[in-house]
Amino acid sequence: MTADRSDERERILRESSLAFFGAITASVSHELNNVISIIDQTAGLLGDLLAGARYGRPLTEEQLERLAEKVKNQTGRGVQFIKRLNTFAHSADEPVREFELNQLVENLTALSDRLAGLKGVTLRVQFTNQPLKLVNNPFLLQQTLFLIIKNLLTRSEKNDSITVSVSEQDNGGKVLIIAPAKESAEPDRPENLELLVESLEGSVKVGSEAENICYELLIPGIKYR
Amino acid sequence: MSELKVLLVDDEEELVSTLVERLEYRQIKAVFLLTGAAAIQRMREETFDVVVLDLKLPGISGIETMRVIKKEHPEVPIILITGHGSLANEEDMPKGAFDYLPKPIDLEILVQKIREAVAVK
Repeated sequence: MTADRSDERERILRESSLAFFGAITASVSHELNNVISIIDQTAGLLGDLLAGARYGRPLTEEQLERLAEKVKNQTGRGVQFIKRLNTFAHSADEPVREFELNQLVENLTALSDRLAGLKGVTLRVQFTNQPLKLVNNPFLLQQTLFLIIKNLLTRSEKNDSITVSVSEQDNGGKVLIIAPAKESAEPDRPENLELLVESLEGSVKVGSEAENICYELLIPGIKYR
Repeated sequence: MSELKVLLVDDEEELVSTLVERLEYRQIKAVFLLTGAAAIQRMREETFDVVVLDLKLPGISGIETMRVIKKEHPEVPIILITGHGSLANEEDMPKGAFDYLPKPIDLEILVQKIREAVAVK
């Protein structure tokens, strides 16, 4: 590969990685904003009820319990988002390291849930029974998976499901991403997919199977079973 | 003066249900729905003074919902709500809305905007 081509490849990877990082953080910040909004309105409602009680309006134990439960639930939801975002952010700490494929797929699909939800699409995940540890680039792998999911979402309709399943194959991991095929749309390879898969030293097959579009991603680097 | 009736549309059920309670505490009758499609349908069956609409909705987007409501009920003012941090200026907001509010919403400001929207109808 010439130096010019290598520089261009690095530039594309850098720019697309930054865009991916931005898409995930924007999505999580929207979710956290919703959590804070609910806690804020619940605190406001509590204030309304207390103000009413000062003027003799009844304030019951049940009302207080319901509001406390609401705040507790939203706090838990917020903590989940922060944990997922933190795990995601740390996946960029080192270019190559050991990671567990099921956990990585679970985190990435959970972070993509909002995007899917806006389209009315459900993301389903199937895992291996045993942990599947790989040594590869976890950040680029998530970027690759997100690129495929995002591409499938653009052609999905309300109430569709996208299934992401993890398995072991050829001393590596296999991730199969399947969505319903639409009559008008042939399966395609989104921009930069090849570059990302090459960077993972993996391979990707895109095709149709029954009434579905199927992306089969093979990632080398199995550590141990 | 008859009671104000507001339709709130946002897919965060816990948020809109709490807003409904708080608005009703302020003598504003409020109904919440979770999707744009449900809002469009309900508007065909019932009259509301103001619609408060989130920009990001599952299925039919907030923008598309606003377009349909404005076409079918041009007299009903729409207040948009958004969690999009970069939509900080009025000129960034889609045309056709009476006003917009960033999330988290200040309820007293929302009440003020609802009353202003009804006053200029």
